[in-house]
Amino acid sequence: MRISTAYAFSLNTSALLDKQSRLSELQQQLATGRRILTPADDPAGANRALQASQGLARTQNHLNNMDVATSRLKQELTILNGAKGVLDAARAAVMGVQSGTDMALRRDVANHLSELLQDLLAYANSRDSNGDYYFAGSLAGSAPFSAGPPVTYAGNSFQLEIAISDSRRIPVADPGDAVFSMGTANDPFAALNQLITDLQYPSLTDAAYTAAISAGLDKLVAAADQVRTIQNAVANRLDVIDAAGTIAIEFRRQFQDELQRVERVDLQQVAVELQLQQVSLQASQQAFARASQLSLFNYL
Amino acid sequence: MSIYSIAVTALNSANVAIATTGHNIANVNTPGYRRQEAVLATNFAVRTGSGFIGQGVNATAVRRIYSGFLEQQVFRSEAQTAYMQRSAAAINQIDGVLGDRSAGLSQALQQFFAAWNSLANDPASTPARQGVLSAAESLSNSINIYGEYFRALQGGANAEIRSLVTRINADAAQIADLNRQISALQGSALQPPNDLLDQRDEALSQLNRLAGVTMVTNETGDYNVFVSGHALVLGGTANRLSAQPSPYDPTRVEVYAGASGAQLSVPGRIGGELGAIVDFRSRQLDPAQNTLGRIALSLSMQVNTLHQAGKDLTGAAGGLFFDDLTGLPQVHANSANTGTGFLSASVVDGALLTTSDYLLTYDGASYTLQRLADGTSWSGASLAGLSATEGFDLSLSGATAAGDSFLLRPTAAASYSMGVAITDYTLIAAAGGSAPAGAILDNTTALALAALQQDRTMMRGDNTFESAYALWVGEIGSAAAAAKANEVLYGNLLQQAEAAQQGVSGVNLDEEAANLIRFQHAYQAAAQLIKTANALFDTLLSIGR
Repeated sequence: MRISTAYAFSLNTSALLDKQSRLSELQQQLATGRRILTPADDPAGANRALQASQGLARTQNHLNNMDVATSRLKQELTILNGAKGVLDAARAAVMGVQSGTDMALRRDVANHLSELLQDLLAYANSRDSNGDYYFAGSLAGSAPFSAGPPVTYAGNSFQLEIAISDSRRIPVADPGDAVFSMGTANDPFAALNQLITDLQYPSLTDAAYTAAISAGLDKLVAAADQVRTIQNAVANRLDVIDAAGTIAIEFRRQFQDELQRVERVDLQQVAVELQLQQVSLQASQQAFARASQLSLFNYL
Repeated sequence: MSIYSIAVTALNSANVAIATTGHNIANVNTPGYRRQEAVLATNFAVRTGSGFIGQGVNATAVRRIYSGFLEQQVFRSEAQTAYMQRSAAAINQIDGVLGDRSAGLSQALQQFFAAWNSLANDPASTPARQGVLSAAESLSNSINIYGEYFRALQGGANAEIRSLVTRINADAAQIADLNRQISALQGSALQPPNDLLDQRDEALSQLNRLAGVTMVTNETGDYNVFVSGHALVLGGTANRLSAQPSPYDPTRVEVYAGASGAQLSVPGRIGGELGAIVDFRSRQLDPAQNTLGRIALSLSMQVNTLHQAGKDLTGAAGGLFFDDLTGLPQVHANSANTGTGFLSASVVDGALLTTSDYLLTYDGASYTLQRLADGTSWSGASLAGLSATEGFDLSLSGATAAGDSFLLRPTAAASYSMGVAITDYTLIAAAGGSAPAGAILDNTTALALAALQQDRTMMRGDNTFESAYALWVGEIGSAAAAAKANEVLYGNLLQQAEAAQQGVSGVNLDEEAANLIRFQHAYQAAAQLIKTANALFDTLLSIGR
């Protein structure tokens, strides 16, 4: 077959250019560590990589949310423990004066109960690291419990929730009225105030005294039970988060694997191909240089 | 006739052959040059008693080596290849910017929703509120950056169409001019003007790469050239194309036959580079703008709806979070409209929006709206139900005249118009609509906004914002991959055709060197012939001494 001299040169040149561009693509893959440099390199892969990275980001959001939720709930648990301790201490103190004959002792217990009341109030008005009140519902900017007496609740019953998965939200706060039995017969603040009054009231008949102490104790026990119920609920939520966290971490691993599978360049394979391309480019260049020296005009 | 005169014919012929070889060597790198050869023939012999005595040689013509069949193959392939190359380069401009997963729109969307999650976790926190604002700013920016980039590509397409039309007109004028010169020369002499023929073929080939033309040779040998049915060259006359603003959109350049002829820049009708740009604009760039705009519209509408249902930190009802884009659909009245009709459109449901543009026409009795992507149309009463299927409403005022038309682009302008409507973080509505004053820890709205990330609120409920974006990236990638594959395929076909054509018509320097030697030998032999004749004559003269 006849070959046109100029066309042979241009064919050779374009072959060299093709090889160089493939070489540069391989180098770029190695440099970025990514197989897909633009979506055209693997359209379906680019789509999958985006979906995986979006799934990864969503899962990471949920994991971050879980961290926040866990930390809030653990703090709440600590506060609830403290509050329950106060109620238990009050009950124990009251049990010591059930007979009620020693007026001096009754006064001591009454003073002790006053301190415990302040402790309980302090727990009920606990604030988080931002200075927001834990047990105020959504009205967290001001103290939910007044000093009294009577102690009143100024918060609302809003429950802050955090999303721990696409479909699941978990409460991370409990409104103070629910925690401290406000508005019910077992209001511990009212019970304590009543006990303090009764303990200091000398002319109460024995029967009336016994009844009052017994009623007060019942209320303290019921209030402590309510705190325990909330504690259990919080512990349950922590368990739920724990379980969801395990799943989310597994999801995250799968999304990461998917990204690796789709995007990551096989270093070994690329390195081998790079070597081959280099050899091939070099050979083409040498062949070109040799062939272009061949001309009949050299012999004229 | 003498030996002398035979020798002279041989010298002359060898001269012509050597000159032709030299011409070939000189033009080895000239684009469009086809090698030439001297055609040699014997002179009429003289009848004598001893028989016919040959009278030497004569160079009867210099002809170019030309295979019509092979030229035709190249002609067909070169327009297709130019189209594919230009298409691939054009779509790479979109494909290339969507490449980086960690820097694109996807990342901005992820950060936006992550910020809402943080705010939902801690609705009273000032840093979380500021985080939402800055993530929203960077999301708007990143949409607008793409939107502005696509707009710049539209501007680039306009400029390129203008420049291509200029080059096409220049080539057409050159072909017409060469048609005139060639027919003048062929009329006066029987010999073909080879180099002019080459020049005309080269001009035609250039024009073909620019516009994918068809060519018909008329009976006098003129090239008549047509592009999309328009007679661009007829004999010695070139009928120019013109690049002018579209009647609908003055910022868009279209191609017309002559100064006021038919619009030729219709997708799928032109070939070559011009066709590639025209097709790219309608089939890739417009949809890209519309797709991005649809994401911007859906996102801003969804966020605004939720945000306006909430309450901000001051206890007031939430306002617009993003700028309202629902009134942004572009309506372009045809500049030839004779009525006073004024059309406007507003988006009512982002989930129903398509990525198509629409054309509204009025025939004097009723209106017809056509969805340009697939030709679906609505007319008369069905137009009122548009908002339930297409996601936008139309409203007309004034008097439309028969034949008036309007082009509607519902989503394109949204692609570069995103903006965050609030700058004060206390105005972020994180709380629910029923939150009382002071409800700083109410995160109802923030939770709902964070959940938008996984809500399927786009494309009739099939996709989330992120999956709609991923889908788009996949589509652009597929189109770019196909363009790349076609570029390679058609490039190979052209290479085959060119190799065959060049095999016949190209100059091979080794061959020319051999010819040079051959004709040099012929020349030397002819010279020797003269020397021999001279010696014979001397012998004769010496007799008389």
